[in-house]
Amino acid sequence: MRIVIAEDNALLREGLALLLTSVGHEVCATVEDGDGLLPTLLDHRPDIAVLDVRLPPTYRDEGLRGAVAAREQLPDLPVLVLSQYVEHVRAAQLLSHGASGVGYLLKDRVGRVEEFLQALERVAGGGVAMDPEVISQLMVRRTRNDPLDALSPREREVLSLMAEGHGNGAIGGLLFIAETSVNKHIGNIFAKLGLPATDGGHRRVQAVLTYLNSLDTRAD
Amino acid sequence: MRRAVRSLRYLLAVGGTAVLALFGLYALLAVFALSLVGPGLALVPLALARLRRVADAHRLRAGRWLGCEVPSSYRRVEGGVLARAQTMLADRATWTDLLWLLAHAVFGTVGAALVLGLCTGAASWLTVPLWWQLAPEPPQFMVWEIDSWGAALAACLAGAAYGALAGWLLPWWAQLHALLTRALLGPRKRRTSLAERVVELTITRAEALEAHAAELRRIERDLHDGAQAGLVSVALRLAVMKQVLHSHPEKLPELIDQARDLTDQAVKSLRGAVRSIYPPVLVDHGLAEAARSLVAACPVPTSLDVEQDAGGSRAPVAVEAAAYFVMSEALTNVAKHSGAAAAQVRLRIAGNGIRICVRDDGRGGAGAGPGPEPGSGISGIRRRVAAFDGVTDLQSPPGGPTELRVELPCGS
Repeated sequence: MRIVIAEDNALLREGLALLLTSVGHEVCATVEDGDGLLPTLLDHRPDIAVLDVRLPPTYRDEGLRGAVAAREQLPDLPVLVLSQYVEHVRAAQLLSHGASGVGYLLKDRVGRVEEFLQALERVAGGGVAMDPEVISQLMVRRTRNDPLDALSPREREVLSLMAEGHGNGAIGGLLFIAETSVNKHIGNIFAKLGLPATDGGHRRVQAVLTYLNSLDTRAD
Repeated sequence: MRRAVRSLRYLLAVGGTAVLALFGLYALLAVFALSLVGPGLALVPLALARLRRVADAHRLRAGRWLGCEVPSSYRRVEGGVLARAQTMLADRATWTDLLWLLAHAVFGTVGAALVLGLCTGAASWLTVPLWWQLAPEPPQFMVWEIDSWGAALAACLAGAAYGALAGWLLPWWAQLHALLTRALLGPRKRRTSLAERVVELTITRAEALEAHAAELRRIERDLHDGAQAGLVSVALRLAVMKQVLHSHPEKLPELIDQARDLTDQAVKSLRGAVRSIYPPVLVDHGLAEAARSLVAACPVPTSLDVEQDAGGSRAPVAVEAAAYFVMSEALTNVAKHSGAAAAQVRLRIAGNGIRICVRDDGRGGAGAGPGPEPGSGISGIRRRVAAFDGVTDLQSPPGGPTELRVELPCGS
């Protein structure tokens, strides 16, 4: 894959480039600040962009804004956003521009290389990758009448993995259960939460995330 | 000579506003008179705000002349027109401003007159030998007429005397005006009312909290950008090592070296971050010893003079940390910006407070002009000292020397 990296911390930038090259990807450009981001993306049209949320000059959300701007001009550009800590607003902003080919990971996740590379592949293939930390924060019990209470522990696990963006096969593999059981659990979850049945893929992820986000905002 | 030229500029600038100040005084009197009948009251805050701007400009100018800062000490003004008028009229600083305006009108005008009189006198009499023959009538100096070369040369000498007088008198007059301005416009050590004290404490408390928050943000950023980024890149290196273990084992040594360097860097940055929070040397050996280590580490030769009250208890941790921070920042400034050949630190640790004086023989001009980003250097020192209700005094005229004095009271 051809990849553009935008990260202001030199250590991380070089580390990422080294890792991605060593597993056979091509890093076609690296960017250090928000200003250079969009032109570089339009110039190289990479297969995926890996972006830090906060970039110079203001260290607010240059990376994210760059991603949104780039996706307006290159609608299919997969974007994997790296963040220092979980910021729901940012994750929601990212999803609001369509949940295909987007990822939101904590920077620490980069150190867990297998997970990171899988997430990268998933996003590049048009899928979704949400950091487990983001999902677990969305899954916490909020109110006494939390609809998620209706789920069995196993169903909660399946829901979390689904929200992170894993496909049925991957969920089965991670939980050591057969894919047919995964399908059964998912059917139950959708029924219990009253979610409309959707086909697999990113539309399902989007439905789940939207649902979880709506729970979260109601609790606030 | 440079001082004379500077005083010339100072007095001319001051003279211009002094003439305007006369009109300003009349205008203010008119506003006050109007405010007695009611509607004029609305004009009071406007007029006084204008006066404060003028005063601020002269604080700056006098400060530049004296090589120190002349801070203002107005009470906070907010609310509607009436509330603002009330606050301003109740503020003693307003009345000293008015007194200053009067003094400024007199001394500034006289100063400008001196400049014009002495300089034109010097210029006209110095040039007499060039033109006396061309004059239709012989020019007259005092009682004698200039009708010979000898008399012309004598006139020239008189011009030189005028010049010498100007060179001596003008700097004095500028100094007088600047000192007067500082005395009247600067904050005075006065018995403040309890209410003012509460307002002041509220502000410094807010500043302390803000300083605290800024400190936390700085620590957070240090940790993220240093240690965390370093550790993540070590993890990345390890992953790459696993990748190349069988395919390209020859790349391993370099990767291992890199990982080791990155670990070192991460540890170093972690140590730095921890140190900046509460320097271990303070914990273990106290402020005097910490000052010794700071002075020893300063690249500019620095002498240290510590006075410590016998048997005195140690100051609160936060005050000691602030004192350490002040010395550390001041010495960093000396090393980085002053160009000094030698510096001197005096530290006095007493039961009721800590006093610090850092002096260098460098090029001066510290704290002048717009500083770098807030929270660094002098402004960082001021904020941290103000948070403890302390006093910062910086004297740094262009050309040096620079002297920073800080007093940090300990709660008692």
